[in-house]
Amino acid sequence: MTTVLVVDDSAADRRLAGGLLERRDGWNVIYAVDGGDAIEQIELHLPDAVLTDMQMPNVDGLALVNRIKEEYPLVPVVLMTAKGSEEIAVRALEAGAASYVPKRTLAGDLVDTVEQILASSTDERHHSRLLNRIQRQECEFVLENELGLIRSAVQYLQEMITQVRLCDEPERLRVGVALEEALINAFYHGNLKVSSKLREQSHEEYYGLAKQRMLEAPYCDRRIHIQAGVTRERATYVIRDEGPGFDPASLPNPTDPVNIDRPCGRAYF
Amino acid sequence: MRTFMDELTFNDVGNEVTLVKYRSASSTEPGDAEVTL
Repeated sequence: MTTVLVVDDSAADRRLAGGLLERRDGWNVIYAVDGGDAIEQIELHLPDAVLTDMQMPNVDGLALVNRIKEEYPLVPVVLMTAKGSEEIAVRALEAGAASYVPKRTLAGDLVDTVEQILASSTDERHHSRLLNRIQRQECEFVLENELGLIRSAVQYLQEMITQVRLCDEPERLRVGVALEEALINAFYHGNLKVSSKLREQSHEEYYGLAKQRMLEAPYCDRRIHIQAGVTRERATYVIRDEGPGFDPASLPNPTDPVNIDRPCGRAYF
Repeated sequence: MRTFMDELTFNDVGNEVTLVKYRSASSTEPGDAEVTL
């Protein structure tokens, strides 16, 4: 059974919209008189879709859309717009409402619109359920020396651990920071062979040399290789550059108070 | 990196780093809860 919540402070409009939806076999319609009431009904019944008026006392349509997108992101919201509510409707669509139907064309358009939104929403729910069942993901990238690609790769790798729920949000961010540092090291120190000691002396010279080497052989031909394997239990990332390598033991310990202000080696600890 | 990950190792040449993160106790089991990406 598909449940649609109709939200409108006008009893006549509620009856009109609800009546149209109730004619559809297999659809159950529940009602709320404003946004606050709607939130209570959503908590109680978790409907498959919400159809809402825009201008209502207390919690209006825009506030309701914001609340639903925040707390129930997979529940689609369809707006009923009337003359004078266009501006607030545009803001609600920008906030994440799925579609809208003008009140003056409810009889002709409402059922088709809700049907279409429910079909898309069902696909999205199945997709979400499928993602929750991923057991293992692997991927491999070969990147040119471009910071934009590095940032996108970090985002992609973070999404992989989100899908298997390997860790919570703060941990996910920390993994992202570590990956970005490893990739930035491969970029500047590995492939371009620009020393962090130069950065200690002059930021301008450091980034100037990096920019120059991005255009010079052999530096510009080097690539960054990423291999990632993620399961529900662990994530493993192997990041390799095509530079000559270095001895990690040679780096100063950045946790030593003597070195706390020095940029070199910080990324490794 | 070492602080944020559970394991961090370099190869002998020093041009490859391996980072490992294990499942954290606070993470939830995958199920049918809503996940948006």
